[in-house]
Formats: sequence, C-alpha cells, structure tokens
Amino acid sequence: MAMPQDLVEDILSVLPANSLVRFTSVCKSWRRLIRDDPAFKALQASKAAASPATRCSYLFKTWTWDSSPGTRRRFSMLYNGTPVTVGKPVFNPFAVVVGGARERRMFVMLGSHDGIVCILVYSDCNHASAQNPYIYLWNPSINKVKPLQRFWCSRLYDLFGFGFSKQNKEYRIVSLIDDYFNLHRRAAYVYSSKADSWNQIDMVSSGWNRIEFRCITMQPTILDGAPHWLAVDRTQNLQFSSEAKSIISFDFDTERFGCIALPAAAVGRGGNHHYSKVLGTFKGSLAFVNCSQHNRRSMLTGHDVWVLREYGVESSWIKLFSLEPTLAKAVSFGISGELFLLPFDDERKELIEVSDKGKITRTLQLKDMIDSPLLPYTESLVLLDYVPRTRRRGN
Amino acid sequence: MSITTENNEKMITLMSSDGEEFVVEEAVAAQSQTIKHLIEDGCSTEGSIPLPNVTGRVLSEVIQYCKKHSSSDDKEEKELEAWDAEFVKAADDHVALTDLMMAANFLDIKGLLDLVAQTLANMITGKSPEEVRRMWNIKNDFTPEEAEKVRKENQWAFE
Repeated sequence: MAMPQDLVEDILSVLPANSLVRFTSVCKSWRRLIRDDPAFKALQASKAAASPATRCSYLFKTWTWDSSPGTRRRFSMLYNGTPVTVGKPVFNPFAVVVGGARERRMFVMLGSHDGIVCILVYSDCNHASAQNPYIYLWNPSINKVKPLQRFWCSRLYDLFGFGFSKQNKEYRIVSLIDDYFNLHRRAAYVYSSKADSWNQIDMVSSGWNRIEFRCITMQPTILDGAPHWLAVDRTQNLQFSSEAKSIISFDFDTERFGCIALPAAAVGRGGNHHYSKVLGTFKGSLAFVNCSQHNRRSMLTGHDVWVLREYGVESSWIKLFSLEPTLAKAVSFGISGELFLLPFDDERKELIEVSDKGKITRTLQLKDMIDSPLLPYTESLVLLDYVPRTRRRGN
Repeated sequence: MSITTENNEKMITLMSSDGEEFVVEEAVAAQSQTIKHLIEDGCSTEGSIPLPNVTGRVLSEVIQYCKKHSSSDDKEEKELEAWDAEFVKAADDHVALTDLMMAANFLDIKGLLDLVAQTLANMITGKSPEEVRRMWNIKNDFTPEEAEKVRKENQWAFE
C-alpha cells in the first residue's frame, strides 16, 4: 500500500529525533524530507514544542565525585513528570575527561534555542576570562556538533551571548569586550551562523557606549531570541561584593543594546554577592529571583520572585511571591513558570520544584549532582544535514 | 451509543465507494470539513453525498469517531482520550490505520488525522528501516554504496 507524501509528513513529524535519523535510510524521498527540507524541520520543531512528552525537558551539566581517570563530566536531561528518566544521561561529545587535579578544561552552556545548544569550551578553567574559548553549536537529540569560527582578539574581559535573528533566521552570538582597568576600551562583535564570521558592531548606533553597566552573567537568559545579562555598575571592580542593579539585553535584529533597571525595592535587599540574583523568564516575561540569606550565621535563604509584566517598562516590575527561608538556592526558572531550587547539601541529589503560585510542589530525585542552570530543551533536526568540512573534502 | 431522539435533527445520507449507505445527523457529518463544505454549497439537498475514496468498512469507523466527538463536551476530555485510545486499538494493524488516515485526510477531520498519525508513529518508532519499508511497500532506491554511506553517517541511531 502506498502512502501519499503529505501523510508521510504527518506521521514522521511526530517521531522522536533518533527514529528520524534512522529513517533517513528508508528511501531517497524520506532522506530528502528528513535531512534537507527546512519546512519539515520547522513542522517537527513546532510539534515537539507542543507535545506534552517533550515540552518540559531541560538540559544540564552533572558532576560526580568519582575523580578516577576516565570519568566523564556528563550532560543530563530532565524530563518532566517521568521520574524514572530524571537525569537521563546524554552522550557528551565534548568528552571532558576528569583527570584529577590536572583537568582544567571547562565548558559552559551559553544558551539554547529550538533544540540547538551553544557551548563554549575553555582550555583552562582557572583563567577562563583570559582565553578565547572554542565555540560549538550542538544538537544533543541527533548528536551533531558544529565547530564555529573562533573569535580572536586581545583578551580583556569578555562575555558571550547566544540568540537567534528572526529576520535572518540564523543563530547569532555576541561577544562583549570590556576592559576591566580602562573604562574607555571596549567593543562588541557579532557572529553570524550563515556567514560563519565575526563582525565588529558600531559602539554608538548599537548604544553600547551609553551602557553604564557591566554584564556579569556567564549564561545569559534568552528571551525572544535576545540574550539578557544581569549587570553591575561599570565603575565598580568586578568583585563578588558588587550587586546586580540592572539587566542588559542585545537584540540581534536591530543590533541594539537595551538596559532595564531592577526595581529599587529589590536592590540592596538580597545579599550583595553577585550570585544572589538569578535571572530567567516567567511565562514569557523577564523575571528574577532575589536570594537573601536569613542571617549571617545560617544558610537559610529566602527567595523573592519579581516579574517584569510589560517588557521594557521599569514601572511594571511586580513582586510575585516570596518563599519561606529554606536550605536551598534558586537555580533556574522552568518553562511554565515553575522555579527550581537546589539544596545546599551536596549529598542530596535533588531538585525542589516550586509552582508558579510559590508553593513547593515536589522534589525530583536525580542521578548525579547538578553543575549548571537548567536549559529548556526541545528535540530538533537542525544540523542534521551538516557535514564536517574535512569529510567533505575527502569526497 | 445513545442517539438523541429529537426528530427535527436534519439527517444526511453518505454513500461509500462500494455503494453502502449511511444515514447520519448533519452535526455528525459536519465534523468532516469536506462534507461540511459540500452541505454549505448545497450539494446534499437531494439524495446522498457520494464519497468515492472511502469504503464502507472505513466509513463506518469514521462515522463512529465523528458521532463520539460531536456528542462530547470539552469537560469530558479525559474520557474522550480513553475512548480515542480504544478506538485506534480496535483498528490494530497498520493497513487498517493507513486506510483510516487516508479517509481522515480526504474528509478533512483534523482530530482523527492527528490521532491516527500519532498511532502510526508510535508503531514505527522502534522499527528498523527494513521493517518500515515492508509496512508500506516502500522501495529501497539506494545503491549499496549509498546505503552504506547513509548508514555510516547515522551509525549511532541504529544502536
């Protein structure tokens, strides 16, 4: 029995990514559809994002104390509602081998968009801010890795942001160069995935020269394709004692920076440690958590959740709820407004889930310890048609 | 299945490709966008609506689905889901499901189309390419060299 092509698309678009990869060898027309058709990839992505089975999954790094040679740092996947697969390991193509004290390599998940994760690999974690990282786009669901053009410049102090340009339909990365010692030396560069190249952007038209803050978040929050960082006063030294006072954003379509001040009522209330605020999104709005230690002697930490109801309007900040002080600290916001807390006790491999109403709903038992924020994650076929350059030459 | 005894409900006659006739309420038949448009265009006023692409066996299944989905409210979503699961289970093999899917496509019943597509997808998720080819008589049009290349490219997905 023959099956019309559009019905084949209806069936294939709801399959998991690993089945689709396998079915590229069924016949030529299936291979063309799965591997090379952008419209099919978009259909698959939209169905994966809407499906209850895959919608609420997160990617994070895990850590085990077993430091014997050959032990690998892993990525893990968290699926909502299925405790058996909580912390399901994901093959880690970056193969960071923990070689005891000698291991210095460090990787950072810069951000994710539609199933593509941007990874930075630093060869020495002790001097991460003084190196050019290797940069990769990674699709964990089909296990494809694409190395990107590295960014070369004299090292000052820099941060990266990953995102998506809706106009050009491509992934972009921005690099912010900020001289820690000389306030006048700074620049910004943008990477375009279609051109595979970096270009400097104009300080004045982008508004970068007017930003009086220094971004501090290593893993910016992506909202609507644009990275957002917590930022401290530029004139302050980058010490742990500086407190985030605003949020800096960069729009890849207009190539402009934006600045949103945190609500005055929240500044000075949390600890002054710059880790005391956690940025994220709450049901599509920009949000942050103010973590404050109850008193100096206790690790009991209180959490206030703030949401920016109208994007860009500073007067629309509202305090949504506060949590009773607990022995845990906020790590990430979830996709549907939940908040995840990580217990301070390293022996407890678990995540505490707080509902969008501010009630602790459940505790998720994990297989390993979490070593990063949780990145929202959907299965996708992006990069399936990517062929590494060396192999192409061979053919 | 309980049929409302209101006699003023308008009835429609549907005729399958093999000449079988089905008399159904208009609201049930209108679950199909194709039939709904035919009714709106006035094609049904005299006699029956012929459906040349759908056999009587498949049409009776489709009508069963439409009856259930036109009589249920949104609040019964859980019960409807369970009913859907039983419904596709009854048409257990892939040939019957493929027939049903083609009918749902022709009659333009989105809910049924999605339901059957998901069922077929679940059926093939763990299958090998060879098994999938056999299911739908798909010809393997790769040369042995090409097949080897494709297999190497995606080795990990076979494990």
